[in-house]
Amino acid sequence: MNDQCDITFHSMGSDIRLLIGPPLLRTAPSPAEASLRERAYVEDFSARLSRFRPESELSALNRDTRTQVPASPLLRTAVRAGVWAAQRSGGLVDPTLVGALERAGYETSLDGCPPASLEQALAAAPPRQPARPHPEQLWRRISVDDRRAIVRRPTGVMFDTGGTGKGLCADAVAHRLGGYTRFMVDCGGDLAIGGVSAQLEPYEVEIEHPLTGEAIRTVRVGAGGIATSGLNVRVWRDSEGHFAHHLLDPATGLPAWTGLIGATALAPSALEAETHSKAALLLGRAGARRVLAEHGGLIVHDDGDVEEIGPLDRTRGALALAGRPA
Amino acid sequence: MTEQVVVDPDRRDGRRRRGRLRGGPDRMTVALFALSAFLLVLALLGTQLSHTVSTRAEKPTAVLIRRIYRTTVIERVLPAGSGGSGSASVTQSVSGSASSALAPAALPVTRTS
Repeated sequence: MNDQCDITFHSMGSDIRLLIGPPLLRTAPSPAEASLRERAYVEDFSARLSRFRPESELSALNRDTRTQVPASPLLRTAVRAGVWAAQRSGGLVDPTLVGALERAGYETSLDGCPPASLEQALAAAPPRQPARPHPEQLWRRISVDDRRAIVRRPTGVMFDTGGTGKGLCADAVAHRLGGYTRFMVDCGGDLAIGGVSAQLEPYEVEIEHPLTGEAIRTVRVGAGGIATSGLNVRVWRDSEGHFAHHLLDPATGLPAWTGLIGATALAPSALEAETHSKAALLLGRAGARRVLAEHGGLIVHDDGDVEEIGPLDRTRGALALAGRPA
Repeated sequence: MTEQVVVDPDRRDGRRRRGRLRGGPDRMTVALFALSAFLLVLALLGTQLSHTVSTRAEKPTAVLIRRIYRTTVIERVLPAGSGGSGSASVTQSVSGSASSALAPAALPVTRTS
């Protein structure tokens, strides 16, 4: 396991880390070469799909006044992933909340801005309640036509890949690394893991506590995805001094205060894990238990208490040889 | 009716002589020629083989150098009011370094971003 290439760089407003093991074929590029190639891919992905870059394809789509907009394969894939996540979460992970996010104060990237105090934000927050889907569910009116290479959506509906972009990117890079014995792609905490060797000797992944920053738990993941959503990193004060964060209740368009400050989900892919973790956090305690029961996960309550739900190690049965961590 | 066939010994020798002349060099010459050709081929092959071996020997051998640094941190914790006979705890960590970024320094972490 020591002959892996390990690089970390900054992109998509987060730290990106790639761990790449030896290739399956001797003719394939070395792990170090592959890491440079994938870094370029991630940076291109970020530049083309960022809501905060006026020149990006996503910004061009959101500015376009037509209902049918020509779109590249990457943009179409991102739109399809956003709609899929909305469908999978019953409309909670809604990609059409750009206007509400901007009204809440998230108009520009918060990358590099120190977050406001989560403890103070929790003390000042309204009574806790689960989030609900938007009654109109505008995301249902977004569709992708690959044959004509267009995206269809009602005029004025803006799309945001923020809820699913990192998970999608992690899955895409993982797919591109299919020729390597083991790999781990970490896009800002959304992880995709794969390779034959990883199934034999799973990666140990630490889950970070949103309040203390300490590792709550170490889980073993041999294949698939794991993702965490939380309030601690993107929390700010709006122009009136009210605390806000980026996970909105689609029904109200306001930051959701559900009694949870963090949720981690395991799933077959990083995109699905990200979708589940966001949905779990937005649903609150009872809903999170339901959402995370299938693939396993973990929630952190407002008071910092940690609750494990379902199976937490994602390994393929007898293939997992590594010892269970204490 | 009996037919007598008379064979002239001189004619028979003449045929033999003509036959030898048509067949080229005698057996000894052919054998020597074949042996010398075989030895020549062997010599050629031997020369080529020795040339290949010497060429390989001249090529630099690729060596992967991986330096391992072992760091030992010894931390002595002195209890308050003690004259220095406190307990000692030892923390040991091993970090690796090589030509490229090998050996992950930390476990992957899933976190809010």
